[in-house]
Amino acid sequence: MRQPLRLDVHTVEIDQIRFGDHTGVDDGALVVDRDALAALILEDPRIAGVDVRIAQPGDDIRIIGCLDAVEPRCKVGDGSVFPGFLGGMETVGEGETLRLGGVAVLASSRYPQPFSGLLQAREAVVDMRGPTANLSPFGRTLNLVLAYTPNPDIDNEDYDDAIRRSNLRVAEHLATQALDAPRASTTTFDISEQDPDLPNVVYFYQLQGQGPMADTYLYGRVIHNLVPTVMHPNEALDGAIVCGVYVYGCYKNVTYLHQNNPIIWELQRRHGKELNFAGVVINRGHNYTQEDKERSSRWAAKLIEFLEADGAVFTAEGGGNSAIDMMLAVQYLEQAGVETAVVSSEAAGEDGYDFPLFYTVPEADAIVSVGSEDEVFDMPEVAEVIGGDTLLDGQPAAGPYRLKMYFQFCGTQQVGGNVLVGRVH
Amino acid sequence: MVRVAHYINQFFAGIGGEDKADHPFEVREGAVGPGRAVEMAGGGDVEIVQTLVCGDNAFHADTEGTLAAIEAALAESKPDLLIAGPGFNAGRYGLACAAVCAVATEKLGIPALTGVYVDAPAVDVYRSRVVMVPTGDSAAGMKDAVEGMLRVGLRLAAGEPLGPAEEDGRIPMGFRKAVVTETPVAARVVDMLMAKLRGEPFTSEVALPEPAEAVPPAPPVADLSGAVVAVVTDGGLVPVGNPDGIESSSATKWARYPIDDLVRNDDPSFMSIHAGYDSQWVDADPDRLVPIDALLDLEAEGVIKEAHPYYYVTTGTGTTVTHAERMGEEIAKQLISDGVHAVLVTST
Amino acid sequence: MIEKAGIPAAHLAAMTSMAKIAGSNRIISSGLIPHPVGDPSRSPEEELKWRTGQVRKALNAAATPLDEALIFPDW
Repeated sequence: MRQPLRLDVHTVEIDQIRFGDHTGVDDGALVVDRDALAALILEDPRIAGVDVRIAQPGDDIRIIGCLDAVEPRCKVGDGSVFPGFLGGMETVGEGETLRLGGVAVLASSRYPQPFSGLLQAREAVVDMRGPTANLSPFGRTLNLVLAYTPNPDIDNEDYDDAIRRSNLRVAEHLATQALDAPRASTTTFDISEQDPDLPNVVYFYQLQGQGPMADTYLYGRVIHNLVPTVMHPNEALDGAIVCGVYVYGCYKNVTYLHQNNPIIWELQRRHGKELNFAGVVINRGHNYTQEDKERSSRWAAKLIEFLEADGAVFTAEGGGNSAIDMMLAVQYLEQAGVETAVVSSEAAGEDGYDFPLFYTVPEADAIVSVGSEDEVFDMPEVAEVIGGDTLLDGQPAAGPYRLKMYFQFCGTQQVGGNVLVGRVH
Repeated sequence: MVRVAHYINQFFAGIGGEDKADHPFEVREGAVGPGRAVEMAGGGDVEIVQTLVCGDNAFHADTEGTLAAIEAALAESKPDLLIAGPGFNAGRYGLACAAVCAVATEKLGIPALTGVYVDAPAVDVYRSRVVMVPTGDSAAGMKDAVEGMLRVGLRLAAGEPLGPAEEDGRIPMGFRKAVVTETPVAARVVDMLMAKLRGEPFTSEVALPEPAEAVPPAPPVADLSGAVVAVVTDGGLVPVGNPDGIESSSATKWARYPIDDLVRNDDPSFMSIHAGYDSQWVDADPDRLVPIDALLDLEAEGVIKEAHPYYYVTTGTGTTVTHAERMGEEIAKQLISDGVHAVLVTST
Repeated sequence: MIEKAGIPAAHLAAMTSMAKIAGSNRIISSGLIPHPVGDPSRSPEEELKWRTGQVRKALNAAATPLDEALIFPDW
C-alpha cells in the first residue's frame, strides 16, 4: 500500500520549567506566565479554577488525580496538531511539527458529580522522586501540572470534555511560543520507501472504547462505532488520537503516549534496516459481545493481511476485557501464518502467585510484560501533594502508605515508556 | 561476620548411615561436616555458630517436636541466617531441610535457605515458601552447592530482597514481581517479533498456562418441574450501601440477598458496585442481571418448582483465580446445603 | 466450582469464550456485557418476554446431559 506521508518532528529540548513574566523558551528553560495561562484556561466557564504548578524529576512531590498528559506540540505553518478538537477537520501526519522535548502538560482533577459502577474515577498517582518515580512515565518528565477545579453545576461528561479541550489548547499554546527557539534535532517519520527484501511489520494498535470517560478520540470523535481501519503511523504521532480514558489509573494510554508511541518510534527506527514498517491498524477494544469482538478482531486481522504483513506487534489498552479483543486477533493472524508479538500487563495477585494473564490463546507465544496491576508498592511520605489532600479512598495523600499498581498513573500502560518488567522470583 | 545456624542430618554429621537414622535431635557448637565447607566458602566472613543435627527417621517420626526444639534453639542463638543441608536428591532429608527453613523464616523471621536437586520431593512441597538453591543430585556436588547457597544466603542475611530466580540462581518460588529493566518495552517486543520472523529462539516474558483442567459436566436436572433454581452473578448487584462491603474489583467476598427485596425494588434499593462495566442499565432494572421476574413467572407456570429465595453475588473483575475458586467452592457448598438443584449464572 | 460440586450451572454471558476459558460447561450466549439478561432497546413487556426466553434456554441447558463443555446454539 502506498503510504506517502512524511513528517518532520523538530525537538526543542527543555531542561527545566519555571514561572516568569512571559511564556516562551529561554536558554533551554520553558518559562510560563502563570496568571496569563490560568486566564486562558478560565475562559471556559465549565472550569471554576486552576492551580498551575511545576513538578520535575527529583522534586519531593506527589501528583494525585491524574487524568491525562499531553506533550506541547504545534504545527510549523498552517494547521493544528489536534484536528477535531482545535483548528479545522484536516488530516495530520505530514509537514513539520514542533515539540517541546521532555515536557508534559499533566491534568489533575476530581469530577464534580458522584460516580457509580464503571464510571467511577480511579486514583492515579505520580511520584517525582525515589523508587516510586519509576512507576509512571511521568515521574521522569518535566511536568506543568494543571490542577483543575470543576464548576460544580455541570455533569461529569461535560466537565471531562472541558478538561480535554483545555489540556490540548494549553499544549498547543506552549509549543507555539517556542517556534523561534533553537531546535536540538529533527526526526523524520517516513515509511514510503519499502524494501522488498525485508519483512513487513504492521502495528496492531488497540484503543479503549468503553463508554463515556473511558473512551478514545480519533480525529475528535469517540471510537465507539469504529470498525478496524488502516492509519498512517504519522497520524497517531501528530495528534489524531487523543485520550479520553480518564477514569482509569494504570491502564490508560494518555495523549502524550499516543504522540510519542514508543512502538511507532521503534518500528520507524528499524524501518529500511531490519524491517519494513508496513502500517498501523487501529482496533477498538472493549467490544461488548463475543460476536462484536470476533467481528472486530477478524476485520483487523484481515486488514493486516491486506498490508502483506509477515509479522505484527500488538498492544492493547485496558485489562481483561480488552485482552480478549487483542488475543483473538493474535489467534487469527497466527493461524493465517503471520508472526505476532504482544505487549501485556499482568494481574498476578498481590503476592504474585496467580496466573498473570487475563485471557490467552495458545498461539500467543511471544509476550512482553509491563508488570502487574496487583503489585503493591511502598509510597513514601512526600513534602508536597498536587491535586488535593486526600486520595479517593480518603487517606491523606502525602503518605506513607502502600498502593497498588492499579492506582499508579499509566503504571501498566502497554505501548511502552515504562521501565518495569514482571519476572518469576 | 555473618552468624549462621546450620541444619544437617546424621549422615553429614558423621554419625552414621541408614542404621543411625533414628539419631535424636541435638545441638552442637560450631561447624560440623559440610558446615566447614560453608565457613571456607565464606572466606572468614561467615561463622557457623550452631549446628542442628537430627536423624532422618527421628525427624519424621516426631516432626512437630523436632521443629519446636529447633525453633527454641534458633530463638536462643538468634543467627543472621539459617542454612539447611544441602539435601541434594534425598527425600526425607530434603523435606526436613525445607521444613526447618520454613520454621526459621515464618515463625522467627530468620532468613533461611536450603539447597536441593530440582526434582527432589522437597521442591514440590515447599517451593513457594522456602528459598532453595539448585544443586547436583549427590554429595559429589557439595562445593558448588555450598557456594551457590552462600551467594544467595549472604544477600538474604544482608536484608536484600529476592531478585528474579534465574538471576539469583535459585529454584523459582513461582511468584511474579516487577523489576527495573534497561531495555525498553518497544525494543523487547520488536526484538521478539524479529526473532520469530528469523526462526531464532526467543523467550516469552510470560509463559502460557498449562491447559486448565476441565471440570466434568454435572449431571443434568432430571425433572425441571421439581427443581429449585438459584441465580448466581458476578455482576456486583448489592443493596444500596453495600452492607457486606463486597469489593468493586479484585473481590475477595461474596454475599447472598433475598430475592423478595429485589422484587419489591420500587425505589432503587439495589445497585451494581462492579467497577468493570457500565452499570446504568442494571441499576435501572436489576432483572437485567438477576432475572428474578422471569424466574418467578416460570415458577408460576410450573416450569420449575421454585425460585430459590436468595441470589448469590460477587464482583468478577480483576478477581484472582485463587479467590474466585475459593468463593466458588463456598457458594457451591451453601447451594448444596440449601437444596438447590440447578443454578443460573450471569456474568458481565 | 458449582458444576464440580454436582449442581448443573447454566451460564448466561455475552462473552461466551471467556465463560468457556473460566471453565463453565453449559454456556448460553446472552445479551451484552453490561446487561447479560437485559435488552433496554425493547419495551418493558417485550424485554421480560425475551428475558424469560433466555432463562428457559438456560434451564433447558441445565437439564441437558453433557460429556464436555458446550456453548449452546442459539435456537
